[in-house]
Amino acid sequence: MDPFAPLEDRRRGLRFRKFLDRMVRVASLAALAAGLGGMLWILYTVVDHGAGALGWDFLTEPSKPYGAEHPGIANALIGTLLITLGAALMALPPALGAGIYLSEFGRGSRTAHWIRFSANVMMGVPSVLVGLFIYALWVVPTGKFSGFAGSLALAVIMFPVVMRTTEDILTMVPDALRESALALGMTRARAICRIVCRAGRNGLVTGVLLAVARVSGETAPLLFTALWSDGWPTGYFREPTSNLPVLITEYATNSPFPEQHAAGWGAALVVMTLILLLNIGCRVLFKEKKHV
Amino acid sequence: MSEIRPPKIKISVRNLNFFYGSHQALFANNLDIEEHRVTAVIGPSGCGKSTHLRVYNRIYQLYREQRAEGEVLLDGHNLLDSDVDVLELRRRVGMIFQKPTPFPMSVFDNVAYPLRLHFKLHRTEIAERVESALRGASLWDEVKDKLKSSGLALSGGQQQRLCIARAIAAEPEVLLMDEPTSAIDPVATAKIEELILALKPRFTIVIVTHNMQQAARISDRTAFFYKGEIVETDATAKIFTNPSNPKTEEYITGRFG
Amino acid sequence: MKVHLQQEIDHLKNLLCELAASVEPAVREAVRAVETRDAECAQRVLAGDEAIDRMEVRIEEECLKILALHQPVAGDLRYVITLLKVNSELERIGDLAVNIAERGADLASLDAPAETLDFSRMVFEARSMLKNALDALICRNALAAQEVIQHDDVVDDLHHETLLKLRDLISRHPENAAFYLDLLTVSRNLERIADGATNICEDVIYLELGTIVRHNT
Repeated sequence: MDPFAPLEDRRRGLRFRKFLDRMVRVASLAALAAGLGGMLWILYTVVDHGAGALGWDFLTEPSKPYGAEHPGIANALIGTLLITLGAALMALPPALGAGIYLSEFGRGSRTAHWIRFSANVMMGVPSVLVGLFIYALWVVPTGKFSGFAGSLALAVIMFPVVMRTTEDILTMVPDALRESALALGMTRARAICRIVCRAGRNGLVTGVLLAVARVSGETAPLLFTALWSDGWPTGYFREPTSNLPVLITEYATNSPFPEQHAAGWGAALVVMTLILLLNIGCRVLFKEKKHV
Repeated sequence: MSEIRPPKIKISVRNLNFFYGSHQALFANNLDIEEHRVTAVIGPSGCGKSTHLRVYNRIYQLYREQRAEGEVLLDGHNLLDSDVDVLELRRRVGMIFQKPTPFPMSVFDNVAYPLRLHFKLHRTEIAERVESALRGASLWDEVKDKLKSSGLALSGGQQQRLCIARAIAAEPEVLLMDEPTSAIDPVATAKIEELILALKPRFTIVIVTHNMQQAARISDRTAFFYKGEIVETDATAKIFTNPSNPKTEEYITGRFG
Repeated sequence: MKVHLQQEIDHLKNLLCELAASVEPAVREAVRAVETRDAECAQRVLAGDEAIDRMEVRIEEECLKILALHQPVAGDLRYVITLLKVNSELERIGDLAVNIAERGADLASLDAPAETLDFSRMVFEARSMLKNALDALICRNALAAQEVIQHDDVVDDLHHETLLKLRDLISRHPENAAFYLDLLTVSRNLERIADGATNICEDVIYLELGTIVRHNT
């Protein structure tokens, strides 16, 4: 065989290759449209059903028993804030610490490998199981449903997410930056706190906010822990505490009254708007400074 | 170059071996680094030049599987001894990396950081020293109006000079440079080369470089590394006109392999 | 890089061999013009010098080109520099041959005196030094070059001898002074050709050993 023989008459057709190229482009556009369309559909449905219920009273009045007039969501809003804040306070410090351990000290170590593995498993556990877990571990022994128990459940869900995000963000900080911090005579701790975490700060804040946003919409774990109440959330540690996700379940599905159905949609709209704002907010906040 | 008296040896490497886990990367290195001179370390990729340099400030210790054996005498004291204070060692032996690594803070704070870290200084003193370090790194004129803006907003060449300013701010004795111009365009490279020559009277400089012309231009002495061994060390002019070892000749004339 | 530079250097070396192959015969012919007092032969040497000058310029340009474009170092650098120096040395030897040939032409126009001088030994020594020097360069043989350098004294001594003899002849036969002065010039130029060969050998030693031996006698 002559390796230098002319190849002009042996060309593959260009048309098929171009067709394939176009098909791939069309397929990916279709996938994009499906995703985007799904989201817009949900948005539209929620706005359509929920907008009518909105109003000043709706946001300031507490929820009412089935059938009562003018149900509000104020108590559930405050309860959700309390529960989420409690979860964040419990989960964030250890999760950030663990993330730092994994990226700064745990490279290639077996312990870190197992921690990482179990975090992945934890992220895959259905949230309802987490609720059940806290129910068995906290609610049953203490004999009380409480907002605190809800916070516990949400914290358990948040922990692995924040830990892995922290690790990923910090791993992206180039080693050269660590080395140059150490090369100036900094201690490991100072280099990590002042330089590495600072370099990854935007990513860390974004990761935390997204994790908070995610758990603030969790329903299943709260069913077994915070439960539900029509009253104001005054007994965070001792009593069932009202919260938005469960309120939505109660109003929209369990209740037979149309007015409460509408209120459920309204609450869903509020939750969705809050989460959207949180998401978009942190994206916009840190967009320009992304080059860190 | 005429020498009135023999220069003082700042760093003396004696029988240095280096391991990445079970893989040995440096074999019985012996090298004398003269004070207030530029010593260039050249050699093909993976020959251990950077590894060798990274022993001088013990930065390799960041990675647990890396370990060095032998002696590296800085002013006569073995810096590999376990009782050596690494933080103090690193104040005395500064390092510049291949890619510029400005900290995510303002230009001023970047340079002030090592000052605040190692010394108790009044604010005006810090400002003065930051200015003098930036002047020393030939960067002052370019950044004097944007000291408050982020160090990351500078161009690549300016970032590298910022790192040099940061490294010289705390008055180290030795400056290690690990391919400081390999990520930088030729004009910025020329500026940094000028800078290195200007810094020579104040510091002892060891520079790892892939660029042989660069080694020839700026260094007084050159060490040629090959497969973890130091094949030849001599005056740069001698290495580039009449190397003693045929391996060196092969490498610098581009006839390798 | 490696192959390309090597080709350029080989090319340069061929050019220099060509130059050497023009200079050696020029010396030979010039000496013959003196020995046979042949004006025509002398004329040929004069005419040939232009080609030598052109070749010298060409080689110098090649050297500068290699230095600028390839920035050779170590052995390559020494080789190019050596060729550059040998190049101008050869051109100078070409000029010396011209000087000798001019004296040959002048001698042809003068009456030969009864008493004259035999240059054959000096001519032989100078020419073999030149030949050996060029061989040492081509073969890159520092030892051979060293031998040539040591031989330089022989030609120096011969020149000194000639000087004394001519001084004696001029004082005894002042009417032939013009003839004898021509011979003195020839002798001096032969001696300088031998010096040129020595210089070439010193360059060869630099090329091979990297040491400059020029001024340590």
